[in-house]
Amino acid sequence: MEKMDSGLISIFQSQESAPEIMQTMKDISSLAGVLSDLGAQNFFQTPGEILKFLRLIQLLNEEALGLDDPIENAETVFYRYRNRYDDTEPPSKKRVEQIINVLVKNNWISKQTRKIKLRDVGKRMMDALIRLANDSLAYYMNDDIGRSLFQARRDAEISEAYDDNGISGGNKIASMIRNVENAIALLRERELEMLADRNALPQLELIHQLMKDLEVKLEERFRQFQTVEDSLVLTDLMQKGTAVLAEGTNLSLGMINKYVKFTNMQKTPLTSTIQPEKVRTFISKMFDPPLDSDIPNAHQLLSFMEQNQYEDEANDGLWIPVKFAAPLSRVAIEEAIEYLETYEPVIDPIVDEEEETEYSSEEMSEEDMERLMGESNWLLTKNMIDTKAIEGYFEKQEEAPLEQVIIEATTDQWSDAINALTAISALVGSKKLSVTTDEQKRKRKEYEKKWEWMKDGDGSGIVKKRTFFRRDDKSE
Amino acid sequence: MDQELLKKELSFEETTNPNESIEEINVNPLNVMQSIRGILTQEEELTFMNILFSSSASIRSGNFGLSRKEVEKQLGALGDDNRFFSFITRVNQAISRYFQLIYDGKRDQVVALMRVPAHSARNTLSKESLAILLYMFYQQEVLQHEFTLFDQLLDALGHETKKANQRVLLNIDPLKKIGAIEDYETNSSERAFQLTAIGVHLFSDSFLRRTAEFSQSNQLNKEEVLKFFKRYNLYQKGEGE
Repeated sequence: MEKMDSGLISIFQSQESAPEIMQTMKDISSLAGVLSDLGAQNFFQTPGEILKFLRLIQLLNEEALGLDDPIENAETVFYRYRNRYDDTEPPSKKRVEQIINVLVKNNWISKQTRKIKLRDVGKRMMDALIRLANDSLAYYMNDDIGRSLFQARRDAEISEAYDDNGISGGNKIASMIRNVENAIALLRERELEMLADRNALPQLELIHQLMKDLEVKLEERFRQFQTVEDSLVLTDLMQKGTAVLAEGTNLSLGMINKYVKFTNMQKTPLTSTIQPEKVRTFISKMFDPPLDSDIPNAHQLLSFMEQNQYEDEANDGLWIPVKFAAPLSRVAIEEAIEYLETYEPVIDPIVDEEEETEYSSEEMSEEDMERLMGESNWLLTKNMIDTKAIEGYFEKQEEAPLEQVIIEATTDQWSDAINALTAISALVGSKKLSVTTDEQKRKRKEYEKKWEWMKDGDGSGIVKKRTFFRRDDKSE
Repeated sequence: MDQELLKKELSFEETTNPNESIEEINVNPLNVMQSIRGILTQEEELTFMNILFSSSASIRSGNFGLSRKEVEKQLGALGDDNRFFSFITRVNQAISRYFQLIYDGKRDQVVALMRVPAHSARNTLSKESLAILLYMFYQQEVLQHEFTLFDQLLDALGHETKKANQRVLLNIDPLKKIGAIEDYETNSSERAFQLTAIGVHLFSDSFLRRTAEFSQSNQLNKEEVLKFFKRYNLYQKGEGE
């Protein structure tokens, strides 16, 4: 036998051209041959058929081990199957024959006139298949957290069975650590869920038991590997493994501790004494309790409340300021639907039409122009001079002497007289009033006033409304 | 049911006539929620909805709820104590299982809180945030301290934790964001925090009871727990004012 590179026998360490490798690959190819031939005949369509096939193999296997009588031909297998298994739908004679033929074709068994004999290849392949199926069965019999842990333990056992005997079982130690890691991740994920479950204790205990078993196995493994030459490579891996397992054990232990504490609490009588010091320390520890402690953090506490042991406890979590979206009205929703239903995408490109500015000319007589200018000038003046009183006065009057206008429109005060006079001049300026001399020499009323005209006749001019006089605020 | 009533009493700090709510036991709150329009007038209903809306942290960050004056204005009852408190009482009676309106006299705000079941409550605040708030709650409500210093928090919570300083700070932030605590101005340069009305009401009675039970490793009478956490005093204080 060729000298191996490492202490362990592994196909990855052997020379590709070595005759052993060729033979090994032939074995695998014969396995593939059986599977593909059976597959072509629809043997692997349903789980039931596969199981029947494995049962048949088992019969052949047992015969080869001398556990059962020799098998003469396919018919013997057919009857033995019926006797042996409690199967309401056993494979037909033809089916059994087909299987036997496939096995013969791939050299798993040899058919002689009076005997069907299991060949060496066939035996090893059948063993492998049955082991594979049983491993899977055991795997699926655990729940999802248990599966990773089971697989980790299996890794340890395989490592024991293979590596210890000089045959590589694959990277079992690494695989084991990875499996434990997966289990812990899953456990963390489901931790709150489990604490919220009133009946979780058995499962928690099971998980913890698996963790503890694993720890023992891992220790053992590591001891074994310390003697192997390549243990140096494994140092990192081992440290990691120890850390991971310690975490896992603490985690499962902590969960049990908390759970047991909670369950035990249910059995205590109701009391009414509270020691503040204990409350304080508890809250302090709640911030970041060690993994294996029996002190739950706030989220775990909420999980326990989910068990709803006290009435309505599960509903009574926290009071949080509410966040509400602004309400949408029915109309708005309808509009949105309408828009979506009738939406038509714009196909034509949007053309930006440039509008040309058009200049038009308007003609106007000089007189009109002047009047327009005057009008706006007047409005400006009016803003500054209060002409309301005078204008109001001429609503009712056609004409009157100046002094009368001033005093009757306003008061006899001097300041009002000045204002009125400015207003009148403004009105005259805008051609609303005119002032003429009194030709008829009408008699003037005498007024009590605190001011006097500079010249006596000044107040006697007649103020007269012009024909187009209108009050401005009515003109619009 | 007594506990339910108690909660109503706790819903605001001052109440003009607390007996009002004791007289009427509300057996089917969900029904009442549908017929809330029968209990509230149109303005009151609108005001309630506005409070719900304005309590949203994301809408007006740092500025929760409505001021009392704004509520009174919307109710059309400026300066009318009776109508203001009667409004809060009636809303709380109707919806006590799902919401509570709280009035924070000091900060002058009326905020709506929503009850979150234990399962969903885990998604609201981190476990560290809750522990920090619980510690402050203990200090300020039970021990009646006016505020909690950052150093006190660190001493109490961080002794076994790596990077405690950063972790505490990081988890104080969400508490401030939902308005449960606020910075407290002290004369010294030390950082200090004070609970707001939201922070005072955030923990449910059940949560406090379980906390106390775990700390004592014993089942406790709920009434005693609430007394311990000064949840009764809250309302007595209001009565005295």
